[in-house]
Amino acid sequence: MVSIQMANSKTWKTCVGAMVNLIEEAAFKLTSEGIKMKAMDPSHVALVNFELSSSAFVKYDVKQPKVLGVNLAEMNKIMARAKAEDELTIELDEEKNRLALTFKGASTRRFSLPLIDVGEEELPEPKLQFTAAADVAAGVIQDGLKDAEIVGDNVRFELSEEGFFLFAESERGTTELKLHKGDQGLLKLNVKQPASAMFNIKYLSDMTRAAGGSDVITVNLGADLPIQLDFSIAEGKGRLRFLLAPRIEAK
Amino acid sequence: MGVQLGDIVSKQKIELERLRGQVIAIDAMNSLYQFLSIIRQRDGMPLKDSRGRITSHLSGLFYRTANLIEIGIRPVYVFDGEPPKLKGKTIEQRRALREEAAEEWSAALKAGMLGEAKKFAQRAGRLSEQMVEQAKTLLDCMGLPWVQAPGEGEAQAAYLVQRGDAWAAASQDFDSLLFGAPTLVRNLTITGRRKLPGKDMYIRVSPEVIKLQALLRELKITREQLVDIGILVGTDFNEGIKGIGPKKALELVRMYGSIEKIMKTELGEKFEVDPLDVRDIFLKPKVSSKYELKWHDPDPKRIERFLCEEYDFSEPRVQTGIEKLLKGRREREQVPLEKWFG
Repeated sequence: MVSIQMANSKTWKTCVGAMVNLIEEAAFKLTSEGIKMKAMDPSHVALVNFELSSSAFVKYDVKQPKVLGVNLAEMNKIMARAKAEDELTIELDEEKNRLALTFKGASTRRFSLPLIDVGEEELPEPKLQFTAAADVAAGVIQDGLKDAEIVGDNVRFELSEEGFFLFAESERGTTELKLHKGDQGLLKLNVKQPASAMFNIKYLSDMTRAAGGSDVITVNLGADLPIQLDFSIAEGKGRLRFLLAPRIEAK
Repeated sequence: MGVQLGDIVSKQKIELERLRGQVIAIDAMNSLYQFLSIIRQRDGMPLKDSRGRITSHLSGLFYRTANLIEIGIRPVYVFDGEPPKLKGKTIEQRRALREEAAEEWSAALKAGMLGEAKKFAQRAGRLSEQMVEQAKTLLDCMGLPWVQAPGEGEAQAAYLVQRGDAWAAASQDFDSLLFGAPTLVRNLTITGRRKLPGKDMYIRVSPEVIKLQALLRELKITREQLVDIGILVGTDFNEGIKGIGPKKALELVRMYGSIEKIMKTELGEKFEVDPLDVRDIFLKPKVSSKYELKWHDPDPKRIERFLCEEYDFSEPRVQTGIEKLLKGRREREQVPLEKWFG
């Protein structure tokens, strides 16, 4: 039996909204501790790693570990109908093999969606030795990506003792975003060794699109390593993590 | 043609954009045939130059490949070598089908039935050795690597992916999976708006990705068993058993475990060639490690000379294609995440 409830729909709505851009199907693993989901995008360039503790729920009834496979696009359509402040209940109808989602606000609305068989790929944990990290306001990164989009498809992330930087260049021109130590959008900076790497803007915008401007993104970088973007969700009771492989100049 | 497994293979649609930066080993013959079949005038005539030589395959190869390059995909065309002996019959059948279609085509033309004519014309397409050579020359002009397979092109493409030199094999056929390609992309070179055959309707074709491991896990079979399913359904190397489609074949393989055991049942008499020989073609294919994947800058002058002067292509259009190639050259390489998996 699965019956879980959150005081509002915001967390689930935002997370599904962010994941749906990268993966079509997701296998949510429910245990007594909470919910986990990990998947790579079809071209194996990005990885989504989602964790939400059972303590984030007002009611969390999961008797046995359970894997719920869903079509994220379908779930997202339903979640898009929820108001952020609606109380959210997710229940499993084992007989019909469906998931029921209930939004309680001004009225009570109920949706159901079929469960699907999602191939459970056991994904190994990438071994990454990041050398620099920063906590940056999501709005700053969103702005920087939109700037970079004007000139090209790629954006370079840089972290050094001076701060956090985004650069893009092409024959169409250049853009840069500088976030210095002490600037409002830079909440934390920890640089063992300056790091820089280049990434596809489209993936990064997909990952950051659903975030609110004042949300904080923890960025981890290493020289030509994948970038790790962490979003703290449900007041720290969960985490949505994205990994994106870099682009390296063709020989 | 190839093995028809569509019914049991679950495919994942993917945006072309998402393949940016990936090396993809494309089944050259399969693509050239597609071009030859799709790129036609209204009456079914292929594109021709002023001397009457067919140019549909070159048009497709140039413009479609330029589209892939533009978004940063790194295509490697893999050409067939010597076909395995068992393929003789398939080749013979294809020839007969083409000849039949050619007759129907001229009959339909005479009767003034353009739609019908085009349908038959598409089936009558024949890829000559000369056309294959032209394709290789064009790829050289474009600065793109191509690989000559010792045997089946799809086997060699699968080998490139297994060795990690390519991210996926691309073909319309599922044979690549039987040859062990870990990842197969379909619809790569025919992505876009496509006319439905014989109808005045259009559909949007987008690329699909099929992962071998995920497929095997989903069907709860091994690759050997997938090959066995192919043999039951029919491949380029054997006829298959009449009346057995992919679903039935899957059932049989699950029930008996292997083709050896199926051979011992009453179905055993129905194989016209030894299934174990066919299995060997897929499991021990003739492949070569002697290839080099090097991307060079496109040579605009050579491309113009070849396409515009030699084969009467429109200069402004070719120029647009060249610009796409140059844009792609500047594309940076996307590294897959697997590189960091321990």
